[in-house]
Amino acid sequence: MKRNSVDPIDRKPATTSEALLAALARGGDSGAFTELMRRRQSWIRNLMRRATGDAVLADDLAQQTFLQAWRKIGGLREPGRFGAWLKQLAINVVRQHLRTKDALRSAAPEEEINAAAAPAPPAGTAMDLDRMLATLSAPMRLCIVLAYHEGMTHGEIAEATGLPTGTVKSHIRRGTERLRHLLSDYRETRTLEDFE
Amino acid sequence: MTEDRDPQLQALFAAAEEELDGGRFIARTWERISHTRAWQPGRGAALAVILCVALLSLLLPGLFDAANRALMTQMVPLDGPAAGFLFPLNSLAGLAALSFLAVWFIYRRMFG
Repeated sequence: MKRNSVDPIDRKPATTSEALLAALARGGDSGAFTELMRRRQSWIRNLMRRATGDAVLADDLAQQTFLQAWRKIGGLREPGRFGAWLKQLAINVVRQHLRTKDALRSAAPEEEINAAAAPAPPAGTAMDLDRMLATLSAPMRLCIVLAYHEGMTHGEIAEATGLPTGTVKSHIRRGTERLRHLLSDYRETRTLEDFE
Repeated sequence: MTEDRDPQLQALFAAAEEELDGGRFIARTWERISHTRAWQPGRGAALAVILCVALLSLLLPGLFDAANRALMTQMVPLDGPAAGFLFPLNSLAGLAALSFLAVWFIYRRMFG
């Protein structure tokens, strides 16, 4: 599909509906796509940060997601479902990244290996959360992020990641237990530090 | 959503959500899109050449062999080890490849 050579800085008004923007972007309007990126970048980047724990890598994967979105948006059938479509692209990009690391196929079901070696928690809720998530295996972390960050059901996660539903349930249950345990340890530590 | 969700963890995830400034990110993303677009004609041309060569070798094997021999012709007649060593540059095929790279470089400088 031929793309119009519209200046990407040509922003559409913030009130324009996302469906309309997606429909315009589907026709090659780069200004509309820029506005879609402006609205969705924070969400996708946060999702990637939770999924990877690395801000630089997360931004790289988020850029890959938008790059693929621009390339494939001509095939988007329902512009009103742009958000769901973009989320699936983002999940595919994360899965592709994990596949290259051979993490999803890892034989070890629980790589709860980083907890002891992890550095002292830096300040900030996001950093603390990322440090706790880093103690989970890659597939477990992805399932947890999709469940808690995205609010997706087991079935939706299974469909989006290609993992069996039983595996997804197991990852979420055990990941939740693990995070809950770490959270209570972390709170105790914080309480002691505050007391001292 | 009722499936095994811990409310404390949900609150933690919600609190960790940051509103990130998108200006630089969007500019970088457009740079990558432009870069990818610049490579697309090259990929298309390379694919077309491969298809043409494959078709030529299947449909007109005689012509393919003749073209092959022509491309292997030395531009400056050389003998000995130097001939083999310089062959990638000292042949019509090498000249064609270098010409293609030069055209591609100019294209990238102008439109990349």
